[in-house]
Amino acid sequence: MELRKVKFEVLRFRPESDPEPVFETYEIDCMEDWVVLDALNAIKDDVDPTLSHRWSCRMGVCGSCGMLVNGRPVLTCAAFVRNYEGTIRVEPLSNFPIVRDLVVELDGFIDKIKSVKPWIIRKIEKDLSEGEYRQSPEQLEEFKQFSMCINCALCYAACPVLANEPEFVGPAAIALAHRYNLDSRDEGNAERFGVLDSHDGVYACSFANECSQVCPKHVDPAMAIQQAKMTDFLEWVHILPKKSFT
Amino acid sequence: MSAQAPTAEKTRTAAPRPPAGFPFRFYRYRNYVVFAATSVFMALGCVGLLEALYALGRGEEAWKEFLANMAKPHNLVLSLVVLGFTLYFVLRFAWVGRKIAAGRIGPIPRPPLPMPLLGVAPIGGFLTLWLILLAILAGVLP
Amino acid sequence: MDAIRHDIILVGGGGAGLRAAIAAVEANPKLSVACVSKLYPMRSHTVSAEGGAAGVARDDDSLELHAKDTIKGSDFLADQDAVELFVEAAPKELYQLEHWGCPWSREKDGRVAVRAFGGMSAKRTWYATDKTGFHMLHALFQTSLKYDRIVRYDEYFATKILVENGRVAGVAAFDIRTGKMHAVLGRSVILCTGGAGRIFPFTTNAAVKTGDGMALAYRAGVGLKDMEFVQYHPTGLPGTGILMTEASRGEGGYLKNNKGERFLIEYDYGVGNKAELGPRDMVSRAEMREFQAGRGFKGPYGDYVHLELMHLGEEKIDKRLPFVRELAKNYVGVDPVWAPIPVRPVVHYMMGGVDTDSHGATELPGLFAAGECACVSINGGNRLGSNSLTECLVFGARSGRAAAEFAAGSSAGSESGALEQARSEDARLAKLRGKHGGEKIAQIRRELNHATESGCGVFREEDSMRAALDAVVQLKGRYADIGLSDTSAIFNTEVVQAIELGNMLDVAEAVALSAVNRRESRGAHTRTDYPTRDDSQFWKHSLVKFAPDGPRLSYKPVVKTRWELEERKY
Repeated sequence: MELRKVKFEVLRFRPESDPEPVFETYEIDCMEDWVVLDALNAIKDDVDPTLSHRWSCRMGVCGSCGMLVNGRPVLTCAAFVRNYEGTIRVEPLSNFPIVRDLVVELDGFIDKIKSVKPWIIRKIEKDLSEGEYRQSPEQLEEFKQFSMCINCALCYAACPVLANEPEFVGPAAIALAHRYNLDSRDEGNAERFGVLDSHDGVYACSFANECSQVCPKHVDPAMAIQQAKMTDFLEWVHILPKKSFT
Repeated sequence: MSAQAPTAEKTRTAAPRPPAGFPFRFYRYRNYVVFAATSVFMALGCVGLLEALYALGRGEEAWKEFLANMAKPHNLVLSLVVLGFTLYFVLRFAWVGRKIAAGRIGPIPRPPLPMPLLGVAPIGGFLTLWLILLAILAGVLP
Repeated sequence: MDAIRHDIILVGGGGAGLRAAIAAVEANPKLSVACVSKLYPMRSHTVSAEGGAAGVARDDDSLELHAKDTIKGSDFLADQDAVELFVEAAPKELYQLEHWGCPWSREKDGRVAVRAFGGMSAKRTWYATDKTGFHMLHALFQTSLKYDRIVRYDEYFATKILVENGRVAGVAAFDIRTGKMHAVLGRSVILCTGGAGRIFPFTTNAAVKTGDGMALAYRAGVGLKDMEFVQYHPTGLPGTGILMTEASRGEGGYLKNNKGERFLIEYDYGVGNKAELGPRDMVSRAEMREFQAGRGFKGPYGDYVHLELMHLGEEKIDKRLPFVRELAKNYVGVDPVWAPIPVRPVVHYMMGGVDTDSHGATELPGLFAAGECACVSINGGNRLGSNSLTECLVFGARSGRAAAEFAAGSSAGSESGALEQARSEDARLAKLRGKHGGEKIAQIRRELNHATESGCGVFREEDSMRAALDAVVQLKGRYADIGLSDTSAIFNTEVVQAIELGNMLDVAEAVALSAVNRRESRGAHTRTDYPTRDDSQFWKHSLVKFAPDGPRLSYKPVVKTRWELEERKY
């Protein structure tokens, strides 16, 4: 297999010694089927073991390895080196505080996910002995797309609103709330209304659509947000009932 | 209200970096900034429409004065710019608006009218009004 | 020393861990549960599981049949009493997950759909398209957010089980972000850390599958059971090892050699008319034998066979196997609608693990284990596909409840010993960062991978296993002289890798030791020098226990209830 020497410009940040993040360059022999993650691992294994980065499944389903490659938020396990020319620039995700090198602080992101109450809320739960809640394939299709989010946070890195309003609940959280609101088994619209309707909720979105452009799983969070805006409006003017167990 | 332990400790972090290529270098962010800027020009357009209505209300003289004022070159140019931005806004809103067309919203199945039309109607109406005004200015309409 | 106090400590936040946490707080809402995980829980390797989770859901199926399939699939090494309660609890757990929002694929009438799977005599594999593990894990994680009594310690790495007065007192775990060691104290500890596929070079497993919990239990004196049984999944992508789910065969896919033959039918590999839906160990062996006979395709990462899905049609593939299509296109540039996917056997699952009973309890009071890191055993010598996700739920729930009962029934003892142990872990960690030494982590890891691949592969024999064992012991010696460059305390992933490597070496030693001493072929453990199953001598579980001068091997009887041993033919 062909080997190609590729230069990587990687953003480093060591809080104990660096006042600011700084770029360092590495040259790595890359195989033709390598992804950027393979190169980062080669750097860590054989060139500079002090490089810190997150990764796990290397097949695009765990969401750990999101970074900016040449300025675009991507999963580095799905970004093929052969698709890039020249020096490849690797940086941690934008819009997040940087903890170390390519590792960003995700606590705020997790809190936002939790704030939309992403679990089935029902007035009366069915007993397990009665089996499953019946749900037709059509009902499943209604929310299926929005359940595909791997929590990689690329959408948060791409969103221009988050750059100026870091409290915005964000695309993934809204898509997740919408996923549960659309699930025929759920009755919790009213519980999620408060967060979605708030100042930092759906109305902070101003149609940049960048979230859907970068989403590696085709969740289309922008669609979820616009639908959530419509739903929110209709609920607010009481055309739609807010499903609630109270 | 962190989902983390109460004892979660922070370390010194570097400030979040804005999205790369924002606002002008990456083409999609550029488009978004233009889209955001349409608000300024549409606001101007609304002011113009209000002035037109006010002039109409004050009688024939005031209306003719208003039209003459609007026919001045700098105002014609401004009108065309407002028209351009409004058109851009309507098209982009419709493009995003198609995403509102869900199979179902709450318990209500897909409404009979296509959603983008519903959303575009108010702005489309605004656009229409402004076109009529321009036509009047150009003398096509009395 | 910073002490964090809870009642139950979970190590690992995957399918088993989250299920155990929820079970514990539901069993006793007064207890507080700490979930200590080196990853954010939704990144756990459960997320990569694709095919499905088995549980009897139709009238034409029975618990008896599911149990028989599982026991036969295990080559009769599974403990039959545990299998019986596993198959009974399975449907309830899967319905519970449905109630918690898991988007199971459905039949037209709204019931959950089930599909065929390897070694199963009836359709009982529940699935969520072909991302079942992903949907299950996210449903569990999102549901766990409901409970305030589950406190998460994300990206905390547990390095030692703290024991005081012969009982578990908690774990020593350091916050990867700050580098600070904490004594996380509790009355029960449940290990749900998954398997150790990363001791091998080609694996479906994520980077994090380094056998941490197995090593922790082992060093605390608990035995590791049946470690020699390593499952090779027949359809992994060559090179990366990325998983092509068994469901692709369940939906009707074919395996073909370079002569275009469906070799599982053409030649006698013991799978009978199950063909591609034979149990994984048999199909993997069949592929290896095809390679040996020269009927495999040759590629840059070794030989491979073809997984053909073209005859299923684009519509069925997009409906039932969309993730498989995406992975094949991205990682090998093949669209399965038009062309066959190259596949070969890759390491996937460890049947062996921490020795537990059917409640997840180990011999160390207060220490429990569940999921892939545990060995109850219900999988015996070979696991049937789609039993593992269910296993996480069933034994996660059982161990959660058992740990809750144990914690509620015991009083907090003295802490001084535990705190002292945590302090010395802190010192050990500090010495490890930036340690001077002649060996490199990546080099030892590569040599470890080479040793396990050559000695503990699909086909094994005495000399190569002995060589592998000796190599691992040697590597352990060299590991002591390891050198690290990163002196930082903040998010130091080099020191994490070093600790993981130490864990992998212990696990690999247990694997090699058990393997070389099992002089028979059973399930996934296939020996060319002892090619048949020997029930008279080896119908027993192997058990490896830590001793200062080297691991001790012993054996444990298998529990039999209703099913007689028979020849494993399909």
